Amino acid sequence: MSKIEPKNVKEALTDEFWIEAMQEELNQFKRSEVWDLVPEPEGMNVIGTKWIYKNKSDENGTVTRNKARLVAQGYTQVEGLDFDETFSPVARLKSIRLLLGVSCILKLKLFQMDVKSSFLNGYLNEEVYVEQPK
Amino acid sequence: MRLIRFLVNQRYRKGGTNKTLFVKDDNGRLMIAQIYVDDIVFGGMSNKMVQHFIQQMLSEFEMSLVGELTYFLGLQVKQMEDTIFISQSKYAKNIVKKFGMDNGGHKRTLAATHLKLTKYENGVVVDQSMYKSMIESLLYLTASRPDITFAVGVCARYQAEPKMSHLTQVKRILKYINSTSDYGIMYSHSENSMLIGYCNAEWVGSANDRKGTSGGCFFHRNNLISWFSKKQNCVSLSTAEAEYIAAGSSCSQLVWMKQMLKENNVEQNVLTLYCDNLSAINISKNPIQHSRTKHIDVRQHFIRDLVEEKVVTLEHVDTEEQLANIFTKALDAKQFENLRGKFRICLHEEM
Repeated sequence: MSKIEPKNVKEALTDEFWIEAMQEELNQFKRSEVWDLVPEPEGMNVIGTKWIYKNKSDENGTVTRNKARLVAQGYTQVEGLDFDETFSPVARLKSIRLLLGVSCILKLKLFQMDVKSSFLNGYLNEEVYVEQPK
Repeated sequence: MRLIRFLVNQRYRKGGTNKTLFVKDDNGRLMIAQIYVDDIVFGGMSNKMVQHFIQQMLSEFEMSLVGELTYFLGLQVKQMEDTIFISQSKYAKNIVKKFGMDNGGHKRTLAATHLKLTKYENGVVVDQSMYKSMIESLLYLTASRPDITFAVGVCARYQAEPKMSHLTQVKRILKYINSTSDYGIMYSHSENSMLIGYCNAEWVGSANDRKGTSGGCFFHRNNLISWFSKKQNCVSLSTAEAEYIAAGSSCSQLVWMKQMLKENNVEQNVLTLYCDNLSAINISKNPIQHSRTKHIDVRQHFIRDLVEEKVVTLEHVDTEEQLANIFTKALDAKQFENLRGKFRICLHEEM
């Protein structure tokens, strides 16, 4: 594992762990069949991309995973043109505490798992063009 | 989302209030799953159900099984035989260090009892962005530390133009955190079935605009689930009125909890709200308009409907037993520690 978080692609490409992390993210895109390579369209808003590097750590603060995520620079999108409504359902901390309380009462043991790439599971209704990652 | 559709197809019931909660009832044996963006927390009454759920999820989605719940949204969770301990001790230590207070000494309480902050403090204006970031960090800590809620809330009112005295007070909170960073909330199993709340108000708590502060805390059985400490958004003419407004906010909180519990398959019949002001209780029970209460806004009166329909009962509680005091005023060390103990905010080893 790498302990540092690179600021840009150039820095990341000097570290084998981060190269591997980026490859994993790209494979994820490939497996989910989210994009096709097309010639640059004319008169369309093309969104740039950016790599974000984050270290995930456990409850003791030890780095457990180097996570590279390719994000679209969505701030250039125009409402109505590139997207309509945006929405991601999120629970409140209160509900989480309530769940913890309930599980004490029902004597449930709680587990956790995470979806490897939650954003890829959403659907897009609009056609969106992103730049090819550098 | 594909995940939601999948769960609904698997006969999971989607919550109405909490749209990210999914419960499956298999002849009284429950399986509960709570989704938080890409994290799922789940548990079931039988091992078989849990295993089945894991298999299903793994085959349908690309998942990584993290295992037993230990760390979620910054909350450290310790699951024991029939208790759960929630804390943010690592986060707490981090912010104390980040703001350079780890050698700043220790304090038993959050604020001096006589302290009254106002907007117009004398003294130099301090760096606003640092002040804001301190408040922001502390606000997140309130997720497992209701004991600091009131003090942080008061300091948060002065973010627009923080002065030296405000900053000194925030540093005092950090000193308190420094000596109690390992504290958290303990939840436990119990057979009694109660949903109770305490509500309180401090009349004219804010010296600037004469608005009061509402405070309340809500227990499901022994477990403190939710609480609030908030400056009221209108000026009230009497303590009773301030208390009545606090009781109104508390009622909506209790009703929300009842709904949430129902979605978690825990039925709750009577909700009890404790209030230390008899006049406020009387206003809620007596539909006759008094000359002293006729100006109270209609929206505050929805509590009457709830009382009339026997959804909520309002009971009187002595000031000494009033747990919500911790959310409306600065207390001395003895009172403060006593209440903190009743909330079961403690060290993990203490229990």
